[in-house]
Amino acid sequence: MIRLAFACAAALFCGVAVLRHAGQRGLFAGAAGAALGLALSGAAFSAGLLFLGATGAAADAVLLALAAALWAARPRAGKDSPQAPAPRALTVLVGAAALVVCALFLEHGIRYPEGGWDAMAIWNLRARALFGAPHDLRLVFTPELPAQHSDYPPLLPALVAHGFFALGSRTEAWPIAVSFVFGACCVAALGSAVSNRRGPTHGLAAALLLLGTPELLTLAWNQYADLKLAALVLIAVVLASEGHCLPAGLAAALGAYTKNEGLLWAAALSAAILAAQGRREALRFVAGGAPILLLLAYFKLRWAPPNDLVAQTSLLGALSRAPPRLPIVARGFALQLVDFGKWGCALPFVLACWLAGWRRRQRTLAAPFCALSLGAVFCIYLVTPQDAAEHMRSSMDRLLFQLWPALVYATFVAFAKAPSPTPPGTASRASPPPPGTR
Amino acid sequence: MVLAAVAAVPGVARDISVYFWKAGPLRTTRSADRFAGLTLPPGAKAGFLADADAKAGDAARRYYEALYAFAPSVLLPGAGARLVVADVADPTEIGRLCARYRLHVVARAAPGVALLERD
Repeated sequence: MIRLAFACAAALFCGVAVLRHAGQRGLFAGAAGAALGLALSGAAFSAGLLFLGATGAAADAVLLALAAALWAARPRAGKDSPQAPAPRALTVLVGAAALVVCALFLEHGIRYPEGGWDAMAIWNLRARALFGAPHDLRLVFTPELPAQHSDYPPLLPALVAHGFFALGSRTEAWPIAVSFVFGACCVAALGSAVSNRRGPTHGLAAALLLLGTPELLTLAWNQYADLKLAALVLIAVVLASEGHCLPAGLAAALGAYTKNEGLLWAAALSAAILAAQGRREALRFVAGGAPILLLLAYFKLRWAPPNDLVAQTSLLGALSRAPPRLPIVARGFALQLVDFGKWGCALPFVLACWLAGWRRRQRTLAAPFCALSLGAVFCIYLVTPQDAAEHMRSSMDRLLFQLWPALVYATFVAFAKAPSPTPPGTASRASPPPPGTR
Repeated sequence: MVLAAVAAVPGVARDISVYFWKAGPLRTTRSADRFAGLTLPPGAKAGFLADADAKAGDAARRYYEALYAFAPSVLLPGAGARLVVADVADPTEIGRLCARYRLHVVARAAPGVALLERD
């Protein structure tokens, strides 16, 4: 337990230090820092395994050293301006919703501690393999089990295995706890990020909307990597929107090191940054993600077998498949809107906001990122070598959820009014300065 | 803000309804428990056999659960390895599998689950 506490403390301190160094503070720095820190812990531990076969606490010591350096160089914290508190009823409603979702998560975790299908077949399976054979990575990433996707990046399995090593056993409580922390941090980070831009009332409303998305609870209790990726994408988008492209690149790269789709979202975000903020910020974004992207490249070249979808796809084949699939994929998107079991009323609400409020939207970085990413999702199903309808049925909800918290953030930032100006003599923190003016 | 709250509440209500729909005794289900007591040599590769007439989905589920239970050992479908894990719905099927593939029982776990070895 002491080793696990040390690992968690190192992860938390490092994640918060990264964000404090970027000028973030308050609940967003804490929540996003926890998620970022866990991701950094998984990445650092996997680097030790891949390069050195090391399984001790060295990765945590490295994170602590990094955290100390970043903390020492953090900017001085300014005073927060007082904001009008959110309505009490809304605060109570969000608290109640959070309690309900937590209770349901706990209940399902007790019933099915091994997680959902993909957790058993991919993520936790690989974590158990890393724990059982840390010095035989050929066994861990064997190409003989194609359905187990040994080509998937190892951040989450390494994070789970890290906990197994710290505890000395393959206890199911640890991956359950990891899933809970990422889910809770995602909700808290979204609420606080919107609150910082548009006031506490809208922040709470955004958090409530995410809590009211059934897919959040489903992916959390199934222990899937999609929720972890969604949290990292949100953090990257929020940081990039506020002009902190270096740590945004780090968060996006950690997302790419979590699931293959993360690389696509990182590319979309870099394109959005290039268009909105210029080449210098885009280069900063790439520089921030470079160490993790290099680690990912090493894993892909040295250990990962070829990805099945990529291996079965050729340019000519993709171009020939795409045109007749346009109505099929469009229908797949439309079906998501009416899938109450996954999205409740949240997805139709967000779509209605964009359709009804398009002309009066406030231009942000998050919106073009979401548009590019959704376009990429559309193209994936146009060219997939699998049956498009079946592929969408089995994966589209999870793919869209990876973008969902960022989409909710983009919606609130685009359409919610900024809070009223604070009285003279107090600095306003509601809207950050545009990039390039720091 | 009010509209966002209105849009969120049905989703939470749906989550609550799923709980009542599947309500029952709060029992923990672990697929790996079915293989308790069976062990493979470190780094070993073994075969895996399910019921011959099992539906594709059920056979796949048994296979993935066996992979999870025996990780990091690699299980490959079929009886090609020296050691074979069998997971069948009908325990009497074990004897038929042994006769068919020239295997003998090394150890048994839950009913219908056994570790077999080539003769």
